[in-house]
Order: sequence, then structure tokens, then C-alpha cells
Amino acid sequence: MSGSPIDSMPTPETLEARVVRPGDAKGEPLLHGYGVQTDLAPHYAPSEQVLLSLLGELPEPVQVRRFQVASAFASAVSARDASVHAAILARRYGSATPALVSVAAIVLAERARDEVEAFLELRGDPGGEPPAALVGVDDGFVARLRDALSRVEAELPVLARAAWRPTAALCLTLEAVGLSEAWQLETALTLARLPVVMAEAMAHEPGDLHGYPIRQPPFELHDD
Amino acid sequence: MTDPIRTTIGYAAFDDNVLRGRSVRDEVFGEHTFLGAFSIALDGPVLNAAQSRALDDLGVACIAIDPRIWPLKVAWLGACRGSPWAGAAAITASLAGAMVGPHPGVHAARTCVALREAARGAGAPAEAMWAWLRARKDAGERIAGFGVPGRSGGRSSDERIALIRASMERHEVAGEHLRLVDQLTALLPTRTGMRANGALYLAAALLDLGFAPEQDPMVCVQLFNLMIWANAHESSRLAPATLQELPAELVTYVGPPRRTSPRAKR
Repeated sequence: MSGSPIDSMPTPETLEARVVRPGDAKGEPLLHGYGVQTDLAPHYAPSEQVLLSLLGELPEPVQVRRFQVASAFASAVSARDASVHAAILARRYGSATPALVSVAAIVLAERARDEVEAFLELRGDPGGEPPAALVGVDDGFVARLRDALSRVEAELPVLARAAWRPTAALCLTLEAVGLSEAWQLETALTLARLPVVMAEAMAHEPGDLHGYPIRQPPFELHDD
Repeated sequence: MTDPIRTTIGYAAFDDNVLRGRSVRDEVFGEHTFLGAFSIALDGPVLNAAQSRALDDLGVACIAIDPRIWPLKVAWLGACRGSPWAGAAAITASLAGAMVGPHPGVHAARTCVALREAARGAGAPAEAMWAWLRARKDAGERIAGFGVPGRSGGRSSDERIALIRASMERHEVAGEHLRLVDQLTALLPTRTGMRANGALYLAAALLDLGFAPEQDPMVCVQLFNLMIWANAHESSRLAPATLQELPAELVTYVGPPRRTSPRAKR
């Protein structure tokens, strides 16, 4: 090989790890400084570890309760959603399980990006008038969300201020947990939904393409 | 000291790039087509001009861009919220292990190799290949390269086969594998309802061009990139609401009925 400019680029010789100290023979992995195996595992629930990952600090109990409720409400993506539809279809044409996880994550991440982008662009002043684009006719989702939060003593007054659209209500709840940056909201939403998408996909038979409604939704295919 | 990863794929040089030991500026540019360079990048055969043109023609021969074709629908679903990257990523990821698309190509190529071995030295090559095929069919094996999707809808044969053959014949690069597959295909209607599909013919063509069976899926996905990216782009452009969320009337729930959890009963 003759020379390469890549060989001369001034870059560090190691990759910096800033959140997780790798585990090795000398010791367990650390997550934001906490021992994953001796500290977090015996004392904290998975949802608390997720929040530690996203926030950098251990959450307060009310944050955990709000996060659990919001995650449950976010999780129920059905076959109507592009992510589930794609995963079912890929399963039916025989995609391997890791491929299904990838497909689900990619399409879920796109939905989360779309939802969070709209929420953050439109939310305006948190104390001001709710933006018209984030409110609409409530089909019961927000009422049930408020009821669930009330039952775990984690009410959120902002939810009572307007007839929020479901996505806005979810994002407001997650925001109240401390997840205010786009990447945090998108990750939380994607994580909540991924197992549900996989469950639906794996409930379908690989190889059964004739069981898939190939003409839905309908396309109108023109020559020009 | 960390062991280095050894590869001959190439590297960034000063004022040039190197591809599998060749200067892009002095030895690849102007000497090889894009697909010829792709073959080199894959550590595949170094194609001459006729073979490169045949490979280009194979890419055109395989165009099947209907958005309803199963994997292409996944591209639409991935891109329907505006990102062609997500659409292309979703379909590409989905192809791993899939029974449609490029993945089965390695198996179709191995079928071609097996047919070649069965025919070798036989006085009647077509009969020898049919005997090999029948034995596997009788044993309940699924043999890659046969079966025409859409037959139930009236697709009587794989329309790509004629173009795949023409791609090789017009550049006079058709070889042993394609000839043997043709002989078997001519015999099949007299013996069975099985029909060869485009994957078998494409596999035979790629073997004739010098690709190894394991390289078949990678060549196929390169050829299929036209369909992948065009569909991803179109979906991202149209952002169809009915793909973002299927209308309720298009989904039928057949799962468990409502039940109450022990904690909710308390």
C-alpha cells in the first residue's frame, strides 16, 4: 500500500466512551457511573435504568410513574401503523429476526421523528395558549391518560389545559419526566413500541405471502 | 497492540483512490464501467467490455418496479413519512433471510452449479438434470430457482427470463450455465408443473460472467438498487397517509378478546 492521508490525520488513538464504562475482567460496566450489576440491577426497575440512560441521573419516583404510564400509552401500535405493517410484511416474506428488528426500529424511528418534530415546532410557549395544531377532538385517549396518571399519583396539570391531540399529550407527559430534547423523546417512543411491533410481526407465518392483502392500500398506477 | 483487520478492498491515497490494488484515476476510470468496477470492488471477476454491457443489460432486464411487490412495499412503508433513507434502509435490512429478492440468489446459484454437475458427462444432460430435480422434489426439498410468484393472478411465466437471456446473447457472453438451464426449462413442461424463475436465470447468467454463488445476492442488490431507491424516493415525495396509517376498515383483528389483569381486578 502507498501512503494515505488517513494515516496522517491528527486524531486520537482511542474511541472516547462517555456514558458506559465497559465491563471487563477487572470490573462490571458502569452506566453514568453506577454499577450496572451490583447497584442498578438489584435496586432499580428497567424503566428507571432507561431514564438514567436518557437523563444521566436517577429519576424521582413521580418521574418513573409518569414515564411508565406514557410508555404504556405509546406502546400500542397496531397493524394500522407503517412500522407494524412493514414488519408483518417482511416476516411474511421470510426476513430473519434481526432484519425484522431493524425494519421495526427504522420505521418506528421515522414515526417518532415525525411526531416529535411536529410537537417541538408547534408547542410554543409552555405557559401560553395551547397551539391550535396540537389540539383536536379527544377520542378518549387523553381522558384515559389523565385517569391513569391520577391512579399512580402523577397527575399532570398541563393535560387539563386543552383538548390535546394524543401525540401532543404523550410528548407533554414525557417532557414532564425530563425528556425535553428530540433524541430523548424519539428514543423513548421508539423503545416503548419496539417489543409490540416484534410481537405482532412474529405472530405471522413466514412464507405465507398469499395471506397478505397485496392490493391494500390501493395504488392507482398510471402511465403518465 | 491491536491486531489489524486485513483487507484488499482499497484505500484513500494522495490525489487518488485505490480499488482492490488498482488506481481509480489511472486504471479504473475510463477502463471499466460502473458495474465492472463494482465487480472488482466485490472481489469478483474482472469483466471485459462485453461482459460489463451484459451486466448492465441484466440490471435493466430485472426491472420490476411495481410498488405492490412485497419488498418494495416495505420501502414505501419506511419512506412514507418523508425520508427516502429510511425507506431504502428498511427494505435493504428486510432482505436478510428473505425468500424473495436478492437473498435467495445464492441458493439459485447453487442450484445451477448442482445442475451443471448433474449434467456433466451425461449423454442426455436435460434428462440428467431433471432426474436430479425430481429426486429433490420427491424428498420434499424446496429448490431455489423454481416457482413463479403471481401465477395465481395470471402470471404464466417469469417475464424477465427472455430479457435475461437476451442480455447475455446479444453480447455473446452466454455460457454453460445458461445453456443448461435453457435445456432443462425446455424439458420441464413435458414432465412437471414446475417452472424456472428469473432468479435461476439470473444466477446462471452471473455464474457465466464469472461470479461465485456467494456473490450473487450482492450483485443482485446492486442491480435492484434502481427499484429500491426509486420506490423509496417516490414514497418520501408523496408521503401517503394511507401507508402512514392504514384505514381502520383495512385491518381485521383476530387476536385474543379483552381480558382483565389480576391487578386491575383488585
